[in-house]
Amino acid sequence: MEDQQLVSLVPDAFNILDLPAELMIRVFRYLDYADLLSLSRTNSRLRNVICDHYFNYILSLRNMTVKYKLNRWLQLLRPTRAEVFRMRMLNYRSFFYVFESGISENSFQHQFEVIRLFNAMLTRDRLRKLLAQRPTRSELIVRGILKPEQSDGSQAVNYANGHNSQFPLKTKIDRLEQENLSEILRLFIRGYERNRKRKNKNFVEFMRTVNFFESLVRSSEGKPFDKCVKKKVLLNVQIEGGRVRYV
Amino acid sequence: MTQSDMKVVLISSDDERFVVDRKVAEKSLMIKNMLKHVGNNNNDDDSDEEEDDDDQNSEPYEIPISSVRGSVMKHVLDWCEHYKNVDFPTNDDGDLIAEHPVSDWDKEFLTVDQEMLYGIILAANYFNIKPLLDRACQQVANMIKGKSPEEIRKTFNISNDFTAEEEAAIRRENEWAEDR
Repeated sequence: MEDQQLVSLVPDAFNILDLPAELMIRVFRYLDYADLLSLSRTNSRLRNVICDHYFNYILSLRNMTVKYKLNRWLQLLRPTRAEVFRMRMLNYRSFFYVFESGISENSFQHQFEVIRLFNAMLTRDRLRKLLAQRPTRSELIVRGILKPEQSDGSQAVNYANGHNSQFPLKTKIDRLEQENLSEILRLFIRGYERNRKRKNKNFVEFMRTVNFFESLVRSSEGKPFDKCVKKKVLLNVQIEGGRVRYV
Repeated sequence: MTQSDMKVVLISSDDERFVVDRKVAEKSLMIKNMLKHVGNNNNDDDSDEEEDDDDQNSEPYEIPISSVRGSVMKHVLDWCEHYKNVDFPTNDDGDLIAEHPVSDWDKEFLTVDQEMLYGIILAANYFNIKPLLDRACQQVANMIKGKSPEEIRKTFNISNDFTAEEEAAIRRENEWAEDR
């Protein structure tokens, strides 16, 4: 019998190699992968048995371990959330929106949100840099666009009160506007006066004709000028475009 | 004569006789199956040929176990005696369904020299006593756990049959598992 043989072959010390393979595997059941790996490094027979029975197990473990290690390694390189927050790459609201809105950290939505946020942050950063390129106040003063100033506070107050004395450019614009306005007014007044003069001229002419007719009437009848006649005459006269037509 | 009263005589390879209760001996699935077929019961279908055994029923069965030595058999029967009232639920193959916690008694029982442990594993396998086999295997596994290959070699007296290149290749292959 096989068993008989095995028992008769029992050596002085326990040798795991003397166990039949099925019993070896029974032992291996209680070992974790690290022990299995060290066992597989002791002897070729053990290695064969272990590789035969645990190939898939060890392979999957290997994949998991490598994944885990890579993750841990990347975590060291990648700034933590708190650091990102401290660097102001993440603002307060978005920080809590992403990380406390119930979206789990590894989910697709989370990744998407983070990418969106970082894009927004990049844009904001670029704009801020552009904004930083604009001329400073002192430069503007040197260029003569701004007047030299004692303090910022007074400027703000003046600006709020509508006093523009500190802003030469603005006063200039105002002056120009005022000049423009006065010019327009002058033109308007001139036109108005001319119109009035013209009207006056017409009226004078009109009155002269009336007087002419009055004198005609007075001379022909020898009677004093009747007011009714004057009215009648007036009614029959139409003024068209500055000319008098007698109907 | 009831089943539990029946005695069974187990004879080891070195002609040592062990008289045990049938209940104790039936901890071993192998003996249990054997006794089932030998039959103790006249109503059994296959009891025709056992008619003459009926006379012998007063005498215990003698079962020669040629593959187990007396010292090991004594140990195994000690275990059976201790657990004779405990029922280990097993499936059809005799494998344990649920894990049983290893008691202190078990630990003490299994703190034997390696040769004896080896004998116990083989005997438990032969007798088909799964709980004992599992515990013994666990004991062996504990001897392996957390040791470097060199330490394992020393513990179990394993010879290193790898060439230097093979060893280097294996080490490279297993690099991913280092400093876990």
